[in-house]
Amino acid sequence: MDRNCFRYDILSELFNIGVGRAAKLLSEVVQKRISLQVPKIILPETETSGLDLPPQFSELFDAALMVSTISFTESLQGKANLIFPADKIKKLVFLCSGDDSVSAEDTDFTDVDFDVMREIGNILLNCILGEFGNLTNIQLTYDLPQVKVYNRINFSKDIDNGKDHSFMILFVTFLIDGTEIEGAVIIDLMVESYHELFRLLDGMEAGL
Amino acid sequence: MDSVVLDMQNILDCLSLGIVIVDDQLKILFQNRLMQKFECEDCTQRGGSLLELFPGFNVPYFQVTLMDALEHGCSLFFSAAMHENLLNCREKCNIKVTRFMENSQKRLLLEFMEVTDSFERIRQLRESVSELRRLNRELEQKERAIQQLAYYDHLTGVANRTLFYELAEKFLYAAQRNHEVLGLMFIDVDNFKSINDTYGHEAGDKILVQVAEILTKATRRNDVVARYGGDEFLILLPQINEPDNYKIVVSKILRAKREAMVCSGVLVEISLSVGVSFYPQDGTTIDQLIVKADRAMYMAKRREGDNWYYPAKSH
Repeated sequence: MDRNCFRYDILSELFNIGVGRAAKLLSEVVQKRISLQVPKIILPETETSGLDLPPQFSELFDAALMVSTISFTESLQGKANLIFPADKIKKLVFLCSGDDSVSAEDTDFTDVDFDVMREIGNILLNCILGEFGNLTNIQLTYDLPQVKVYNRINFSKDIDNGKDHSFMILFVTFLIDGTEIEGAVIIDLMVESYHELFRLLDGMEAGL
Repeated sequence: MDSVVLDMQNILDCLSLGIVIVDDQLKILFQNRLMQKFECEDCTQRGGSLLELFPGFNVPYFQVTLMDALEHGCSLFFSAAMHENLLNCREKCNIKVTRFMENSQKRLLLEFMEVTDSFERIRQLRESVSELRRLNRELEQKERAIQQLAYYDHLTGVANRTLFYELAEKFLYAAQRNHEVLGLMFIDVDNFKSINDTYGHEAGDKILVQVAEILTKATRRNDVVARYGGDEFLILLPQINEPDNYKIVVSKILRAKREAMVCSGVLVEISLSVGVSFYPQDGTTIDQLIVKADRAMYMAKRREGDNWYYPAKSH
């Protein structure tokens, strides 16, 4: 099997397991059926590929964004960012917390909105990074997500700041009560970690 | 060593966070004084579990995530908004969970951060926003009502003179710029005074409302029907491509159902006289066009009954 295909398949499987687990947990918390889908995954073609988005997804990043970020350290170093367009956050918060006292179009966020997004980010990113850790046998160390609201330019600047990074992008779709909310998880790996991850994946392939 | 433990307990009791420490079986090893505020009995001495202290934790979501935290060391965050009924009290708390090791034993530190005030502030803020939205809606409705009063005829709902002149100037400018024909119709109700005298002013009003409906239905979407005063109406016909197109409107007006119920059992047939003028051939200002159309309307009235007149055509 082509090496890139193997990498793609194994990471897709891993992400889908993580996302599926997160969906199950979230469904229980909000007592609604939540389906989380990963319609597309983009893996870096080179070790320092920039944050290139396919045209059909670039509009997701055009407006203000709310980003939950977990930084992980030790054997693999980088950040995992859960991103949603800010104008969809109120809807997501409303669907997850059941608080319908505020307009879904409102983009002035309260501490409570940030807290709900911190918990959603915590669940989803824990599940994804947990699967990463299980697969690679690497214990990732990370704290709670930091939640920030960015405009598109500042987010691009922030995430593309260092040159020694490579990005994996998972487009995620929340389906809650018939409402579809699109977001993305961007895993920002340091180059050494990128090499380490793919060395581990290639080792697995060789062992099959 | 005991004094260090005691000091630590005193320090943790001084924190403005509720602190609970559990072992890998979720048995409570320590809870600080603030936890009493959340109506928690002290389970430290009798070896109670977190699930006893907070029965709300006794669901798979917390069990799975707390075990994950114990096993993998990932931190957890439970928001008060998503777990409103987790505590047995009115206070609301976000809970942060962190694993730490004590003599190779896995422990979980649960920090209860009270956010009751935030919820209350947000509730008050939302109430204020909601009140502002309500006031804003009322204001918008009043503005619309004022605009309606300023620009529309109170009785018939068609444009009044003010709106007519504002739109007429715009249409005239557009006709000049685009070299188009602008038509103007002057319509008068025949024998209106006699209807008023016979059946009363209320009956006269009903006739005027009916006429406004007839004219509105007979015109195109961009035409403007206005009440000029008394029983006189004006119609602006912009962008008349063919000079004879106005006849379609006249014919629709004259063919419309003309009976109006003015009082119980009394039907009055409405008869209209229509005069027409056009920019540029009959005048280059709105007032000139009105004068020409008015004169034409009187010519039509002289012929008696439903009739119309356009001087340029009849000469």
